[in-house]
Parts: sequence; structure tokens; C-alpha cells
Amino acid sequence: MILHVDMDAFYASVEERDRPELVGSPVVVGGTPEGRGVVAAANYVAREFGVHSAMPAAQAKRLCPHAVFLRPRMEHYAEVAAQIRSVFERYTPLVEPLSLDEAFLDVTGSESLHGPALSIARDIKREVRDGLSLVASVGVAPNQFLAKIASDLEKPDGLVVVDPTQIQEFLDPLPVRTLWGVGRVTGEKFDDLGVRTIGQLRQLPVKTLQHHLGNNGTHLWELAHGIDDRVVTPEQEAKSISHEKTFTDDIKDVAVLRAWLLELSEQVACRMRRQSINAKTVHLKVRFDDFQTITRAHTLSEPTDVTQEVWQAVVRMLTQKMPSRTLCVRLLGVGVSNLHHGTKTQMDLFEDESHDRNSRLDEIADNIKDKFGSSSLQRGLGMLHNIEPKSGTDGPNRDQYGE
Amino acid sequence: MKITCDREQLLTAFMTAATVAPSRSPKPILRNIKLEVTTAMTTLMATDMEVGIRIEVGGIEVEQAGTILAPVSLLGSILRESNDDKLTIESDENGTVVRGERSEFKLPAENPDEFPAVAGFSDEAYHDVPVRLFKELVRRTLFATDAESSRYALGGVLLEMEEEKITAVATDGRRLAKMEGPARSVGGHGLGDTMTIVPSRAMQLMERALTDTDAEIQIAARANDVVVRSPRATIYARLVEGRFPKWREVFPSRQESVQIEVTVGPFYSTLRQAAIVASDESRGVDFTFGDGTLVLAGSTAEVGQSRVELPIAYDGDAITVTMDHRFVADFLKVLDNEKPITIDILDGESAALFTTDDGYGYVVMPLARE
Repeated sequence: MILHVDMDAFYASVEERDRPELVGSPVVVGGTPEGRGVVAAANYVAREFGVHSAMPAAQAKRLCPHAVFLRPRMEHYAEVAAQIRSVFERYTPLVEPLSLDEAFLDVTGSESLHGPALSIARDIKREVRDGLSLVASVGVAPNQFLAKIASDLEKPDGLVVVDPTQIQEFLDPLPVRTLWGVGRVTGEKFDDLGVRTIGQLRQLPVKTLQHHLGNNGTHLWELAHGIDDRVVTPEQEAKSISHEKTFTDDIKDVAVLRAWLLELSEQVACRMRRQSINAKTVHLKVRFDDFQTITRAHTLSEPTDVTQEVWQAVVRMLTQKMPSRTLCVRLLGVGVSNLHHGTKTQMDLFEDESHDRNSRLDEIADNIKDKFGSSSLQRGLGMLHNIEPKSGTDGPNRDQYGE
Repeated sequence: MKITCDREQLLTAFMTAATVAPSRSPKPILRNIKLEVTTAMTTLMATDMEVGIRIEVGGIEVEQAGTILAPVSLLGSILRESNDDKLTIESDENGTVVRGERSEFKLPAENPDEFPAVAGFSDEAYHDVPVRLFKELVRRTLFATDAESSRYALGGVLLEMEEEKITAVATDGRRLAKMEGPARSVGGHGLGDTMTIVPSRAMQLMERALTDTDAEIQIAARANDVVVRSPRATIYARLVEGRFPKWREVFPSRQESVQIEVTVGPFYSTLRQAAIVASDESRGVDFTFGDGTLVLAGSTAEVGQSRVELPIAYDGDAITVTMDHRFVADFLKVLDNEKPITIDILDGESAALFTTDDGYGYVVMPLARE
């Protein structure tokens, strides 16, 4: 069985715990009272007023003018998160943190030692409450997808178990938007189809879903049936982070390559941000149709976790450091190394508006994706790779890298 | 052409000029050095089209004036490997011959007229700058340049020239070095608002080519290039294109800050000790001022921690600033151990300012917690 442990209003709860005088008042972490920045977390009192994370602080201020606005103390939250993780690790080594405040635990192998999954879940909740004065919601289910839904159902302080023999009974009544990957756009499609619940979705033929939603349709069909075979993978101290994409049809259009690089850069940078890592060296890997594989690296002057900066570096390598040859790409990879875990950043003498702006953009985008699924928000250019290749780009050409 | 030269003197001049000639270039002719001999003087010339140098050579006996081109690598090796005090260099249309007492080298002939012109100094408006000051301007700023910056033109040193002053500024966006001193404008030079950013390489070359520290040099800056003349050498450089940030806006000038005087030697020693546990990943050293003591503390996971104290004349509230130790070391490195400096700090999120009593100012942005 899998546990999904989700800390309730984590940042705000840590602040309330450390400063008991805040309990009972609306607390907003992130943003300034002047209304700059974005809400990173809001306690339940603030949520009563409609404040939620990823909301501009200005809006939060309007909804709840008397809220206490606090600067996030990420370093401190990371310390608390490490304490929480050490509680998890007493029950299973298979812990996969998703962010500071949530993690998957595979307790299948621990049940003979620590008792059934449900009692492990209770023990973890109790230890987190008694030892750290924090409240967690836990979902217990046969797989990650179900456990994640379960942990959210009775928040705060929830504990929901999905019986492996009653998966459909559990899923069917839930609104279709509960599914991972159903954001606004897909949700509207379902509205058009008259599909409101997961049960209704499940009854559609998979072909219909594929017709309307492409590959994502298959995926949603599986989820609606409670199928999810991802494995809980404990995080290791990474030396590098990379993502690759192999193309079924070789790519000859540099605009499409740039679009894919943006998507891969986004995936890499997003992982860095989740793990609070910055990287100084950016890698590009290109495999051509004849399997010639070229890797290039570029070291930045300062470590970054900004998607735009990773992307600019790989695009520069693609346009400037590739051999002159026929552009026909089979595989593309983006990676980073020279990782910095430090929580301190070098300040700039001259305000770097573009860096600050991009960094804020990433933060907001991450929050939206956390809430609505990873396909809920994409960069316009990154979506280019979905379009059909232009005619006339076939055939061998030299120096097609652009610029 | 036919000359007899003092090998040592020619070699010294040659080595300075040779740093300009590119080792690889799409224009192979640039891999040569030009030797121009008149009855009055002998000049070596080299250029890579961005930077050019003319340097005068002493100890030459001229038998017949003329001009030759010689491959830098070959002539350099000959001058270095030869044991003779004197060498004769003779050329005709068939080639150049370098002769020692018991040696002879034949080099191919290249047409000297094809070598690009290396600009000389013919300006009427310029600044007179003492060589001693100019060398300090370079030494104290050059290390802070950043050739990689894409936002600003930081790959060179900004020279600002006023009626009776010259200021050199270099920055990489995280720290900034500024050095100024007295200089004299001649012919109304430099009083407009042109932005003179001299490439790092050219500054380095100028520093190196200026040997006579009691002399003065003349600097003439134009819209796209700059020419510097010393008694022996003239150096031309194309300016770095682009915008230098408005450095005066970030250069601290504040009343409410704390000023602490320390001496370079002990301070640098304390810093080097604290930095023992620093790594490329954690370059931050905490500088805590207070209680009559400056405490430097470094810490790197899996490496260790350090704590080193230095007595200071400050008893106010404790202030901690975390800085990249290498940035601070860069500043201390170019100063004498006995030199007193003033550290000007405000809080952990504002720039620290280091100054000397002779026109040198250095700004370091701290490392901040997210």
C-alpha cells in the first residue's frame, strides 16, 4: 500500500506553531502587506476569506486586509520538512518527497513489522502532531494516484483509506476535475461531453477519449479505472538532473527543436525548483538520425533555477556550438550539473529585471501546475512542437540551426 | 633592410608585441610581426584588428632602412633560443636572414604592404596620466571585469576622464572596483559624454607595456577606439561596444552606515583562514562585526566549519554580512599588507564598501538568504 502524506497549510502552520500569538488570525506566507509578490501559503483562517496559494498578494490583501503577511523562511521550512521526513523513514525507506510538504511512502514491505498501512498512517499522523506540533492529512491506497486523491478528501487532519477491492466505488462519485491532468481546458471538454464524474468518464470508450484528448485520453481512462503503476522512488542526492526526448519522427525544423528545448528546460528547471537546487552548468545533448551524438556544456556565471535561463543557454549551444551538418534530430536532451544546494544567493548590484521577472513567473507557473496539473499551463513557444512541420523543410540542408 | 640588434632588447619588445598577434586567425598575415626600420628608429608592430601595438626598440644599429614581416612564432623562437648578444637581420625580396655568430636562419618573405596599418598617435586632444597611476588603475580594476555578461558591456574597464581626474571602473554585476586619481585634460579632451570601455586585453597589454613608472602617458579616446601613447609604445584598441551600467547609482554613499578601519595584512590572513572550509558551492563567509571583534565564519556541509577572529575598533550593534570570500580576497590581493582600509557596512542585505585613502573603492554585494 501507498501513503500520500500532505502537510496541512504547511508554511503557515509552521509559522503558527513558532509564533502561537498568530493562532486564530489569518496568516499569509509570501508577498508583502504592500501587495507585492505571490501567496505561498495561507492558513485555514485566511482561506475562509478566499485566500489561497498562488494568488497575487494584492488580491489576498483585498480579500483579507487584516491578514498577517509573513516573508517565507524557506530554509526553516526545509529544516522542518527534514524532521518530518525522518519520521517517515522510521517506517519505510521508500519515501519520495514531491515538495517540502508532501511525500509518497511505499509501506508494502513494512506492514509485517509496523502493522497494516492504516495503523502506520495513524502512527505517522500522531508522531508528526506530538513531536512537531504539525498536522498532516494522509491518504492510504493501492497506488500513488489514489493515495493523493484520498489525502485531499478530508483535509485538514484527514485520513482516508481506499480499499483495494472498492476502487471504483471510491472513484466513481468524484468530480472529473479531481483527476491529474484535468485542468480548465480538459474540464471544459468534459463539460461539453456531459461528463461530470469519474464514473461517467469511466463508462466512455477509450477510443472516444483518444479522439477528443489524444494521448492524454488514454491516460485519463486508466486513471478513471484506478490504474497507476508508477513506483515510489526515493530521492537520491542528485549530481545532475536531465530530461531527454526521443522523437518518433526525426525533427528537421529548428523552430520545433527550440520548442522542445523549452519544454525540456522547463522540466529540468522545475525539478531544480522543487528540490531547492540551483545549477551552474547546463548541458545539451543532440542525437542525429545517423546516431552521431553530440553533447555540449556551458557554465553560467551564477547558478540558476530559472527556466528561461536554462533554455537560453541550450538554445545558444544549439545555434552556435553544433557541427555543420544535416539537421535531422532523433533525440534531444537538456541537463544541468554543478548543483548548488545552498540557500544563499549572490545579490546583484544592478537590478536584473529579466531574471527577477522570470523567476517570479516560474514560481507562479509552478503553483498553478501544482494545483491544476502539469499540462494546465504551458509556454506558447513550447507548444509549437505540437504543430505539424512546415512543408518544404524536408531534405538535407546545411546550417539550419538558425541565427 | 639590414640591422644589427641587441638580442635582449629586441626580445623584450618582441614579447610584448607578440601577445597582440593572434595565434589563430582567419587572416594568416596577422600571425606576423612587422619590423619597420628608419634611420631614426626601429618599431615593432602587431595587431589582431581589435588591438594594435607599436613599440620602439632600442640598441639597433641601422645599416640600411626598410620594412619586413616575420612569423611571430619563428622569430620568437630564434630570439629566445639564440645565445648571441648581437644578431643581424637582413632582408631582400627572397626572404629574411637572421644571423648570429655561429648560426643562420632563413625565413620566408612576406609583403609588408599587406599588413594592416597599425594606428599611431596623432591626436591633439588627450589626457596626461602618470604611468604609476595608470598601472594602479588597471591593477585595481581589471580583475572585476566580466567578459561573459550578456546584459551589459562588462568585458572591459570604463574610463571616465574629467578636467583634472581619471576614473577607472570595472564590474561583473556582483562587485565593482573603482579607482581614480589626478590626470590633466589637454585640448578639451574627454569632457563630452562618450563611453570609453577599453577591452580587458588591451588594458592588460597597456599595463605590461608601460615600464617607465616615472613617465606620463597620453590617452586619446574617440567614439569607437582609444589610443594610448607612452615614451616607448603606442597601443590602439577598439572600444567594447554596448552599455556600461550606471555605476554611480549603486556606489554607496551613506551616512547611517558603520565604518571600520582595518589593515590589509591581518584582515586578509583572517579571511584566508576562514575560507579554508569554503567550497565552490558554498563561497559565503559570514563577516560579523561587533563587540570589538570581527568574526569570520565559514561552513560547508561535509567539509567543516571555521571561525576566525580579528580585533577591531567597533563596539556597536552586531552586524553580519555574508560575502563571497573570493570577491573580498580579489580586493585585498592588489593592496600592500601595511595598507589601512575602511570597511563601510549597513546591514546583511546592502552592499559592503571597501575604501583606501588613495582613491580606491570596492563594492561587494552580499549573499542573501532567499
